[in-house]
Amino acid sequence: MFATALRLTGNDRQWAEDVVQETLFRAWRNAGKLDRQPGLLQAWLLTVARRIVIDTRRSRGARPTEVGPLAMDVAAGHNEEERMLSALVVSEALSQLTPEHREALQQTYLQDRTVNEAAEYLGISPGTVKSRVYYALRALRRVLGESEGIR
Amino acid sequence: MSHSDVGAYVLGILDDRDSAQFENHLIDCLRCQRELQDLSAMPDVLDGVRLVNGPPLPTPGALVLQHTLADISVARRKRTRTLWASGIAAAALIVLLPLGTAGLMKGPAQSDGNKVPTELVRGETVEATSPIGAKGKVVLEPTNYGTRLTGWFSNMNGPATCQWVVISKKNEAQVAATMYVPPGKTDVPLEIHGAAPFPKSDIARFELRPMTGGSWITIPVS
Repeated sequence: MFATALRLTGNDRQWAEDVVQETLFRAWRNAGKLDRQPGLLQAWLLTVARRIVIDTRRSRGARPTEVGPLAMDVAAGHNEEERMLSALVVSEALSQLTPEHREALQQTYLQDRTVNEAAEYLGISPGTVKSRVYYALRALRRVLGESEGIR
Repeated sequence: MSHSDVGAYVLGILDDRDSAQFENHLIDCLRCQRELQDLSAMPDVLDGVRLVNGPPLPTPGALVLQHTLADISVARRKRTRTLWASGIAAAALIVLLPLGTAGLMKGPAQSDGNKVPTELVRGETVEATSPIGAKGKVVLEPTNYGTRLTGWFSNMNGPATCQWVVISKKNEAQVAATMYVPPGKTDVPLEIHGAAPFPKSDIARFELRPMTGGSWITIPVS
């Protein structure tokens, strides 16, 4: 959990500690109910932690920290080349999505916009953005599942 | 509340209220719980793309087009009002516009005729092939304005409008050129000329980025 927080905060120990604390605080009410399937609690805690990091970053008005190669290597045991390679595989997977789906990810998560901000920017309803984001993630997951060696 | 909100929830892009609402739904929805697990690694996957894309460039989207059009119409108005005063700007427009259009219409297949043979371009050559098979070669020539660049790109999956991006060792990104990659596999390399505002020794790598996102090829400069 701490390792994950460390990675999300770009190796800021103090911030990472705060994130872990806040995650557990937010999670304690629902944790019992989300422990029914193996791995679910972990996946959910990760989502909550990421949300906390994103919220803090937004309120600071900062752009995402670019995780330095060192932090990334230590965390994932990857070298620069492997990292580049997997990023290229992901780029290629992205290019296989429909333009609407690609744009949905591009204009939300990758541009640090919320669903509502992206909806306004694109001139479509928030519901449409949400459903495009969902189908884009599903499609990306499928394409990546087909190409070997990624997660 | 819809099941498909799980995607936006996993990415952390829902507003506070929507996010809390979805959490309430998640506690009792087995389907969404399964989806959450299934998609929980996707933000990391997307972060990988963001990382390799390096520093963001100003998005040359609709806004740039608007500005360009506005510039042109301002220049046109000036030209009709004081023809002689804005002669130079107008001349530039007249010269540039037809050249641009001709270039677009001719397409790469017929532009082979004006191709500068590689041997005539002097400088250091770097090249790379991406895991998806795209090939890129760049010749770097030092000049007093930075580095003159000649690139050859092939085996790409067109159609796409692309930016040829130069990234410095200080992680600054600049566009060396933009291009239109025609439909299909690019068998004949596209020859592109560009420039970087850095000396050769400050250049870390080149990337070819389709405007739709991601990066087709990365060419490291040692």
